Amino acid sequence: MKGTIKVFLAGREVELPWNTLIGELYEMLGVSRWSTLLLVNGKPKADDSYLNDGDVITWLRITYHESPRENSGENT
Amino acid sequence: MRKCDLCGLNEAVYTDYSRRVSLCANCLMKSVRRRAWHVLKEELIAGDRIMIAHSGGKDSSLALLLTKEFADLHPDMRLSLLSVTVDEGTFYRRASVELAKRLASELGVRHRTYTMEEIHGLSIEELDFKLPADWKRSPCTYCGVLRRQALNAIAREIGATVVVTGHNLDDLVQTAAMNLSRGDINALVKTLRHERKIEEGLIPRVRPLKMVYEREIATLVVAKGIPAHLGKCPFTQGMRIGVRREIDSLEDRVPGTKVRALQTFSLISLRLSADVRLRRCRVCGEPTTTELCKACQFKKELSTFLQRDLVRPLNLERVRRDRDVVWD
Repeated sequence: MKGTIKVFLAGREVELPWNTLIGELYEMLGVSRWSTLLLVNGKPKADDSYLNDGDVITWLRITYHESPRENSGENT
Repeated sequence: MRKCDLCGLNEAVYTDYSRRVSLCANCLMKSVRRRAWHVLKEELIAGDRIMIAHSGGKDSSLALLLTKEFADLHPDMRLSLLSVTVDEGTFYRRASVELAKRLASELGVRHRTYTMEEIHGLSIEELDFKLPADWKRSPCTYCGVLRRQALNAIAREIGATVVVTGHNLDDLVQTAAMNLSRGDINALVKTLRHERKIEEGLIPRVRPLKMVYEREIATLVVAKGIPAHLGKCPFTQGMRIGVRREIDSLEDRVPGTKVRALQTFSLISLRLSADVRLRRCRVCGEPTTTELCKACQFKKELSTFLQRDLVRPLNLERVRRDRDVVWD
C-alpha cells in the first residue's frame, strides 16, 4: 500500500497522506467549508470521501449574497 | 466510492454534520426541496402572482427552480410566475443575466430584465469609475439599496402579489445577528416575520431557501448542473465578513447552530412588535421609514459626482407596459 498520493492543487502537484479526506483538506488549506467548496475533478464530494491518486482539486468561492435587510430603514 | 447514507446507490456529494450523514445529489435535492416547499406552502396563497428576484446567481436560480416545481405540483393554487433580473450594469452581471434567461427559458417561466440605468439613471460600473478611491462608501453599499428598491417597485408596478428571493439560512442568520448586535429590534422583526399585507407599496417577500445552508445550494447547483452564475461580484465588500466568520466557527463546533439560531430568532420576532411606520418618500414616492428614502439620500450624494440630478421618481414606464403581458 502506498504511503502517499499525489493530487493536483491549483495546477501544482502536491503529495498527501494516502488516506486524506476531503474534509481534512479544508483544514490543510486553511479555508472554511462555509465560504469555499472544494471540487474533486470538477465535482463536489462529501467531506468524508477519500482523495485518490491523480485527483485534480479546484475550489469555488460560495459566499456572495446581498443582505436581506441590515437595518430597519435602509432598504425601504 | 463513498456512497450516499440514505439511498446507498449514488456517490455522496455533501456531508451534513448535524445529521451525521453524507448524501448524494438526489437525496440532497429531496431534503432541500422538502424544506423549501414547506416555506412555500406556509407563505404562498392561491392565485399569487409571484415575481422571482432572479439575479442568475446560485441562490435565486435554485429558488426559481423549486418555486416552479411547487407551482406545477399545485395547479389548484393557480400560481403565476415571472422571473425578473435587475441588471446593475456590471460586467459581472452580464454573465449572470444570460444564465438567468437560460434557466427561465428551460423552465418555461417568463423572464424580464430591467436595468439600474433605466430605473435609477445610473449604473454601478459608472459609480466605480467616478467615485473617488477614498470615498466613504463603496459601490456595493449603493447597489444593495438601489437594487432592493428597484425590485420592490418593479414587483408592485408589474402587479406581483409576492416576491420570492434566494436568501438562504446563512444570509438570514448573519443579518439577524447583525440586527441584534446593533439593537435594531424593528429590523429583526421585519426580516424574520412573514406578513402578507401590502403596506405603502411594500410587496411581501417569501424566502423558500431560508432553512437551507448556502453550502447545500452551491453543492446542488454544481452537482446538478443547474444554470447559475457562481462567480463573486467584484464590488462585494467585507461588511459582514466578521459576523459570518464567528457564526461559521460556531457551526463548526456545534453543528446545527445556524438552524437553531434562525428558529430562535424567528420565535422571538413573533413575540415582539415592530415599531415601524411606513410612509412614502417625499421625492420618489417609494415606501420608507423616513421623510427621504435611503435611495434618494444616496442619489442626492451621488448627483455631485455624476454631475446630474438623480433625485427623482423611478422610471418604471417599461415595467408598467409589461404588466398586462407577463402574467398567464
